[in-house]
Amino acid sequence: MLNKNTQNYIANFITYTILIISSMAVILPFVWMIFSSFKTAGEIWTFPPVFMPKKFQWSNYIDAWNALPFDRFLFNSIFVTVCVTVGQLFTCSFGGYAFARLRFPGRDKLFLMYLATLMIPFPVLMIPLFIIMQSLGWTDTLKSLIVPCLFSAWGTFLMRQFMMGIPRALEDAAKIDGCSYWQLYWKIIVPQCKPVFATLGIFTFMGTWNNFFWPLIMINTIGKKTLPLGLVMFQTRIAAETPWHLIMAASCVTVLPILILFVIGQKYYVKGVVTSGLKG
Amino acid sequence: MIRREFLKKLGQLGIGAYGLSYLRFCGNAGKTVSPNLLSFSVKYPQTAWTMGVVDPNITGTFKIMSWESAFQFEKWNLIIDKFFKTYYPKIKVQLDWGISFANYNMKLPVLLAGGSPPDLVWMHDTRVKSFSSIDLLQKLDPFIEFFKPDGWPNEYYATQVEEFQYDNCQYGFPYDYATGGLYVNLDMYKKIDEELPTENWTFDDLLRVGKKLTKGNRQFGLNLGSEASAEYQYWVLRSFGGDWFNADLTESKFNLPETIEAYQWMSDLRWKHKVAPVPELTQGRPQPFVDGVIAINFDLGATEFSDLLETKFNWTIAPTPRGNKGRFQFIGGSALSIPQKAAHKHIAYELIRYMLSNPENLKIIGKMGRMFVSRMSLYEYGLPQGKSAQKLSNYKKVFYDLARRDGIAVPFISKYQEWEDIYRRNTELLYFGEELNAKKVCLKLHDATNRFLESANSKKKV
Repeated sequence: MLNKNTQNYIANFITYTILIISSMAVILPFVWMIFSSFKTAGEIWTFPPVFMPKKFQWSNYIDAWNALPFDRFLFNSIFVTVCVTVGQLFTCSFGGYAFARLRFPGRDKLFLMYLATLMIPFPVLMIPLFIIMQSLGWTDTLKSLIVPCLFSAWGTFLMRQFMMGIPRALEDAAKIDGCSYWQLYWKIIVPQCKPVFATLGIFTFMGTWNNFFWPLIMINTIGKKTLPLGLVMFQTRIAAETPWHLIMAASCVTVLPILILFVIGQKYYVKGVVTSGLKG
Repeated sequence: MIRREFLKKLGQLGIGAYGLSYLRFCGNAGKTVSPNLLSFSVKYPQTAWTMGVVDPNITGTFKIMSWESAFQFEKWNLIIDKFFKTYYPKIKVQLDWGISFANYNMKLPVLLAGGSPPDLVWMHDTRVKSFSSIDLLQKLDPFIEFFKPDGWPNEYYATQVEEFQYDNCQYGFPYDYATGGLYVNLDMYKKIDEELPTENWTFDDLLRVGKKLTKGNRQFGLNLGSEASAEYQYWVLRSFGGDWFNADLTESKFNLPETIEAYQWMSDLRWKHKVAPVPELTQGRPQPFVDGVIAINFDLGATEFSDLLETKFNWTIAPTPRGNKGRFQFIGGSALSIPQKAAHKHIAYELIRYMLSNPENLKIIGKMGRMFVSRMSLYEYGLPQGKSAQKLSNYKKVFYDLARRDGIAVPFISKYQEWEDIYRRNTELLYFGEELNAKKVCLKLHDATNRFLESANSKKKV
């Protein structure tokens, strides 16, 4: 019979081993991307694959950056992502607050209808959206990437669920002190919702940053392309001719902002996921 | 465009390859601008490259959409820029390029159906009939008749001209000529006492050498690709005397003994003779020939491996073999097309003509590209340059002379993407070794193809 310490030791060993293997599986593609960004075109195709480049090709980063206007792509991506993220935080928190706290006829039915829009796949939404953008004359503009994405049923649901958990006593006390609905929202609800704001912010940021299909349809000129569109501009129909080493270098740069954001907001992100009952 | 019309068009096209022609018959697609209504009244001075129909001082935006990558579009950009600076200096050109091929084929249907398509689009031979059959592309015949390109059509590859026709009308102006051949690893080959393959070799000769070149799971003698990749195997099928459809594309020919024999031969390479790599191996290796695992490999003649093989091993190229019913060589290619709803059709045609019939421009496209250009007489600009030219001294014979003699156009029907899905589902059984009897697969595919053709043709009549 093993003693308690030994049992704990074995349990920890198994747990850590599983966690390390799982982490490796997640991290490996990123590490592969980083090392590949320093390889030559020939090394990329080597089989069996070689992990480390023979000689680090730092010039890949310069070549990739110079081949296409990545500074413009970066600016467009940041601009669109920030606008959509900030916009969604406002619209979703307003909607979430209304559905969680305000009483009006048909509220729950309206919420269910709103929630039902989550079931509609994007290719179906794309058609009316395209017509709307075209009739507004917004095709090939950044507006077409921002405005349709400012509202999110999923984000509203997330906010509502979180706000329902805030004690009503707080609001009642504020009402007695003479707070208006706006003041209630801004001074009582929002400060309580920091974790869910962080969660929604990070999810929206990631989703918008990586959004590919909608910008692909809407954007036609190079100067208005976002980073994901810019990355595929290197791809050719013949796989062997695609400069994967440059794509990897550009991808490393693309991943950087989102990585930084995650590191900064990780604490809030985890808290928000836990408290709103969502899993990443 | 009203919403209903948009939905009809999009429904006809579907989104992506699977649905491209699936809903073709949902609505009446023929109510667009008739090519007969195109005006060709000459009001302005004509030049060698402009018709004089459009005001040279016209303003506006001319939109071009291409799947060419950042590096490949450079050559086109040079010519497009020169054309507009010279003939329409006040037009603003909007270039949408660098869209990967798969994404291009998702975006283009949406733009065509949306009613605000580009003025000029890149068009693939696998898709041109799907688009033209529902009137989303402009017939080029009225333009060609009015302002004939130099040498048209005799100086252009007949297979390419034919590939971009639908109902005897021209819907695309071919810009390249991609043909298939064999890449041979000479380091492996010199260890066996055999001559290199020639155009007079039979499939049995190839198999015999393939067996000699195979060494267990480390080295495979032959790789002709997957029988599930329809268009790249069509030449094998024809060499055996088989076919996919009858001449008027109304009946399947998968029940022909010759068709079955061809598929059995391809399957046996992998599962009986074991001279071709199994799918697990080729799927894990993006370029098995480059990795030095394959001795003889079928691929397109685009010298695509030249850079990668620079220091790896000695290699050369050779012609594909002949079958019992003659020798057939793979031909493929792309073209430029004008959408039916394009705003600047006349200028689009003038630009096409300027780029693809003007020898000066074709020389640039040939030198900066990796394929033969549209005019046959300018083949030399599509030949390998520099070191590759010496190494591949037989390039012209393999990929040009023999292709012109034996090249065969693949019968891409108007709903090709949808049929290809049926084809792949069945032939993958052979490719993955789940079924070793090609007759069973071919007969099943025969029934499915006949049902498909019957349904498509009956809807077409309606």
